[in-house]
Amino acid sequence: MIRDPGHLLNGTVEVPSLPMIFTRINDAVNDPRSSIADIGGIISEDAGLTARLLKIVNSTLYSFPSKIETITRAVTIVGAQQLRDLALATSVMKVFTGMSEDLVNMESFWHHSIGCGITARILAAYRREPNVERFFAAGMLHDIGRLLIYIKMADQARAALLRCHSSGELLYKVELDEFGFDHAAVGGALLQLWKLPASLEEVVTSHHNPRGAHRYPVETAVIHVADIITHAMRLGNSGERSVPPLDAQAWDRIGVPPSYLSETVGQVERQFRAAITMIVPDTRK
Amino acid sequence: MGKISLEDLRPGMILAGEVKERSGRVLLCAGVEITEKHLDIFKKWGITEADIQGVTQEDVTPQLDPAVLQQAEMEAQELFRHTDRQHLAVIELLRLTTLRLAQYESGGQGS
Repeated sequence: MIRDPGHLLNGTVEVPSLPMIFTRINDAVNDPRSSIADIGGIISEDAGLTARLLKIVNSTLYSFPSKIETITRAVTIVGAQQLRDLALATSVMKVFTGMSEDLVNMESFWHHSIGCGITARILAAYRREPNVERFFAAGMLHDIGRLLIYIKMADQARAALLRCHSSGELLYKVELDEFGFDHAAVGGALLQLWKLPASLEEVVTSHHNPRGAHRYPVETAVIHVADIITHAMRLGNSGERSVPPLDAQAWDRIGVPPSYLSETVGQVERQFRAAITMIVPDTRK
Repeated sequence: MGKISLEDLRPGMILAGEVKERSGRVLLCAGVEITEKHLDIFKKWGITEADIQGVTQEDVTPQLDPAVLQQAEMEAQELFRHTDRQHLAVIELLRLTTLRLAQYESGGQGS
């Protein structure tokens, strides 16, 4: 029976919220009256975020000819929406710091998310999508529902993981069977609660069922494929132990020839380590 | 002759067929010898493979210990057991995964 995961967003255990700064950046980007300096000013209030974003826009991900020294300059060159999506992608890890690692290794979880984000970004660049950072953010967020499941229903989640371990079934199917919803639906509900754009919400909700995406089928198909490539490359892990099935229609929709996969894998390989050092907050030193 | 992936193309190889960009425009004709500059152009234009005279993809794929390769193949098959292994994209991804696993096993690069 299919159930609505909405109840996970209520209850006694608090649902993590997005950093206030992100909401303010988002409001400023969406407000036609705000200037580049306004947006830059808000980002600059958070020194950590500023440093992270500058590191990324000066990295091989962009390879601009000259160094970008200030956030205002970054907004001008990279674009306000792109920088907003990058801010989202790099802020979301913080939301879940201090989480119990009983059921999930957080480092491995974020490695999978970053891998998927990088892969989606590369596929989007191949398609010449105008805002590749939207894809990066979607990749970072695609499995986030799992974290909420681990927080809110740890015992049932453990049972589902154990069942997969012994039967070899796919975790997202077991979730659906045991809970009546999967992590994708939970993730979508969480993004809605966070008031994130509908495009991100649909992509996350439908990443295992791309045919269910009616408004953003291309974006959804890209994340669906990026998730599969990330699993095949075994970059981190979010709980699923094998490569999820590929939807042939989603594959056709992204219009990437199979021969481009080898180039994609090579690029992901080259960018993955760099991306991790840029995004993962240095907590161990 | 055979299709060779971009990463395995080398200067000096001779094209066996035209190289076309995505809209169908011909970038290079058959019989042309590939240069370093061509490879740069291929990358920029999103060309992913080319038909090369006298070479197949198997020839340019690095030689790995057959036992290691077989072990990697088994692991990759296990990893892909829920996918449709007849689909062209899955076949290619499975091949790449096998190679990565084998290279990792042989102490090469990989993660």
